Amino acid sequence: MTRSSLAIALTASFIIATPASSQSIGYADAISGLAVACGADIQKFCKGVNLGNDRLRNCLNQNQANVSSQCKAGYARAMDLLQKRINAQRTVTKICDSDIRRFCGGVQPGDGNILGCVLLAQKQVSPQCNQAVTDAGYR
Amino acid sequence: MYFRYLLGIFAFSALLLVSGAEAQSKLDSGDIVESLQKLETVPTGVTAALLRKQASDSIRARPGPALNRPPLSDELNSLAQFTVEINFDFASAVIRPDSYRTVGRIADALHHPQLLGYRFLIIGHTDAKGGREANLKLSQLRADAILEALTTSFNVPARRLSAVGLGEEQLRDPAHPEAATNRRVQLVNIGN
Repeated sequence: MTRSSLAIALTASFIIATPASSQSIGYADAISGLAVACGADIQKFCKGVNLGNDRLRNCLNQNQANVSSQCKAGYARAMDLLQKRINAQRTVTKICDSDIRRFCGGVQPGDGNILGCVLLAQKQVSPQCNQAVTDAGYR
Repeated sequence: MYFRYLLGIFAFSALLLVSGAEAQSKLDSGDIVESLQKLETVPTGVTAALLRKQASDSIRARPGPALNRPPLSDELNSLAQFTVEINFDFASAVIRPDSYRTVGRIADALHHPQLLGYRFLIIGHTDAKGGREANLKLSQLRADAILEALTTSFNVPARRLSAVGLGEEQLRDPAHPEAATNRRVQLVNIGN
């Protein structure tokens, strides 16, 4: 990859990766930042190491003397963005707890049913619940 | 740009709700919302274990060449699904970095509110180059790798997913068994 196209790609990934307010970005956007920043280093130092289960992190750590600073920064940023989305999705039911009791009490628990109810009750539920739903990428 | 991204996820997710042949035409923005509302009852009965057995039986029962080999399962083609291309290292189940984004797109679709209640099969397919048994094993390892990435990097609960390799037993283009189009990963909605 030429230097200028790499610069464009990195800039593009940073532009995509800057969310409005507390909104988290999706998994595809978060992980592609990692792929762009670390693709070359992964091929060089972590060939045969697969995505998932912290394997890449462990390998990049082991090779940190040689891994590029661009990859180190890109990896840290990608992990931060992934964790933001994971956390945002996990806290929705907690933040919406009282709204769920009020408006979705009769709904059978199970993935999606309660969230579906909360989405339909957008005009009734609290602002913080609606914000949590938006931040999690559910709207 | 964000709206177009969301629309892309909607389109992706829509394919997992609308069965079979209809799915390809549901990418217009006007139809997307309609197809998401038109939730159809998804037939079950298809499981990873069942498909695995069918595939190994198929290798024994249909020992002929790959050219024009009929698909292992017609039912698979009738279920709500989508197909993606994921690049792996040669003869390996290691996902190449240039395909991380595609795995992330699968995760985004699986986290979409409309799909949260469903379970999915991850199905790995190869072309017909190389040994038939080897292709079956490799495609299973590849499907396993994608499942592991989805459940450990992208917060998809493991109970929603299972992985199966069908090797070259369900060729996408049986008239051209060695063509790249046969190398693919299929995500199939198997109900709730």
